[in-house]
Amino acid sequence: MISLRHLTKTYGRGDASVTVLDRLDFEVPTGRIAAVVGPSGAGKSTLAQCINLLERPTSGSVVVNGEDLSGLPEKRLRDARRRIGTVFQSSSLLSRRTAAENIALPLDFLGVTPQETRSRVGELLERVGLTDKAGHYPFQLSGGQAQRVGIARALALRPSILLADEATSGLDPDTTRSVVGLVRELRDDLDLTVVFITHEMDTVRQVADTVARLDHGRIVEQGSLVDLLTSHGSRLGRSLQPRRGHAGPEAGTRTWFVTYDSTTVPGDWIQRVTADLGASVHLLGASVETVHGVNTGSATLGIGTEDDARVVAALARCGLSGTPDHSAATFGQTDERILAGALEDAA
Amino acid sequence: MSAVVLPRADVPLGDLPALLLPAYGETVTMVGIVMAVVLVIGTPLGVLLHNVAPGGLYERPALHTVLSWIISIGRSLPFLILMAAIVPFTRFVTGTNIGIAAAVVPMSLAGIAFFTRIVENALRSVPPSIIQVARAAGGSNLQIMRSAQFGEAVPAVIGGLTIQVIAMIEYSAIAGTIGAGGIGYVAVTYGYQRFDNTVMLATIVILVVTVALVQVAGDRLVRFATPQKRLQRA
Repeated sequence: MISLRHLTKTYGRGDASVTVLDRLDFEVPTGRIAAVVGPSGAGKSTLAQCINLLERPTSGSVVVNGEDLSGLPEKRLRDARRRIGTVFQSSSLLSRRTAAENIALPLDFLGVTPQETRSRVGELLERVGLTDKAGHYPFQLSGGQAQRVGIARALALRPSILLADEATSGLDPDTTRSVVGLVRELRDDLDLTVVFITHEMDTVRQVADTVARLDHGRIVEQGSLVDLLTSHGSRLGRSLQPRRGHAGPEAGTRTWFVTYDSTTVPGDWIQRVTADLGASVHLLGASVETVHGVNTGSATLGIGTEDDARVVAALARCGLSGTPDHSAATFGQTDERILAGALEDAA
Repeated sequence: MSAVVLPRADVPLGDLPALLLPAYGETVTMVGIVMAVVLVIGTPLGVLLHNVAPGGLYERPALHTVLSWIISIGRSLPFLILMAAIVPFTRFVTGTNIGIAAAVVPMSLAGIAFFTRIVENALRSVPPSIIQVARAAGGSNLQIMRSAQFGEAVPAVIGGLTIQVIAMIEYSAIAGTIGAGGIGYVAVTYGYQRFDNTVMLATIVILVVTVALVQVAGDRLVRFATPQKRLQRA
């Protein structure tokens, strides 16, 4: 378990000082994966550096398994860092060391005997599925393989906490999926507590048990991933939904934005809503996926009735929440959305 | 020093080896001694300079500014001027102001300033994220400097070392003008002062070949020290 209590980090002094983390409280129970998201400049990287103790907080504490690590003297801080494994962005391997030598780095620093190092590195390589790449240099590894080496290196000293600092940024979607899968698998096998700092919402939906939003140096919103995805009063929940473009509405229909608002939305909800309303329902766009066994998603519909109250009620009966699109500039907006969606897909 | 003007009498070709070989030996000795001194003092100084700079492992901005200025002053003087300016110091250290011993002192000073910058520059090219990785892996500052900073910068340092050796060969030739011996001395006394074109040409050829060989050797070492270049020979 890791908890951050009243964590404050201020750079500079006096008038020129900047408070990056502001009395931040955050806790991740043992065996859970907590994603921390936030816009750039929110303090994500400073938070990461305080968690792995590369930076000492100005005040507040980092408590791992009941022990306050942030207040330790410099000499002991180095030992404390060994209890937290950090996975950095993919390019952070030492270029003149092989995969095996990169994984051995923390063991070398600790002064482990060569035999022990060899067997531990072998174990780790097997765990991340790279036994055949032991002697490869970073330039010979793909982005995903390099990141697996980074994960193995972070786990070399058997930490109880794993910190992933933008660990999947810059990886393609398939590679991200496999790296994320590995993190979840390792969490299950080793009972790791994982703090996953990222700005990629797609990755968050794949990896996280809980999600916290960091803004202006504080955790402003947090909750379990499923709760957030199925309750749309939450700004964090909305930002977790994939945003896609949708087709334009047909004449005589009104555009509705619909989101899964419960964990029990029936699979045939479109049919049910159509029957309920006795009006045509066009599917203009949708994104549905299963997160931790629960169907979540959102859809854009064109509905051939003007009676908004009836539509809201019909949707609610299926566990959905809907808002009509009243804006006069619907078409312009729609075109932009489609374009944005197309660009996103192309990328 | 006013040279006695002799009637033109070029050294016969057959006598060239007897003249040039000992001189070449002196050049190699001078450069060798200087390089040893430069490596022993310049390397730690470069590492220190890099790590007391803002963002380094032992940030000491004031110390960095002072060190940096001293080195810049050392680097800004043309070697000929530096050599003349520190004659009293050279005499204090070596007891003489001519010959190999006397040349080694200003060459070492200039060389240390040069190499310190080369090491600093090489270390600076290591991405900060690599240093963070090493710190997070529980490395002590010494371990980080060895594995992450120096370990990653080895090819750049070797490349710099090549430049350094060539610069020192050049300095040794300049030092020849104050009677330091070596190829430079021969070039000045025979080639320049006696208009002996044969000797002049011979010294030029020797210097060009030497510099080219040093460069080739340096390039090979850099290639060997860089996994990507070593393994992607195809």
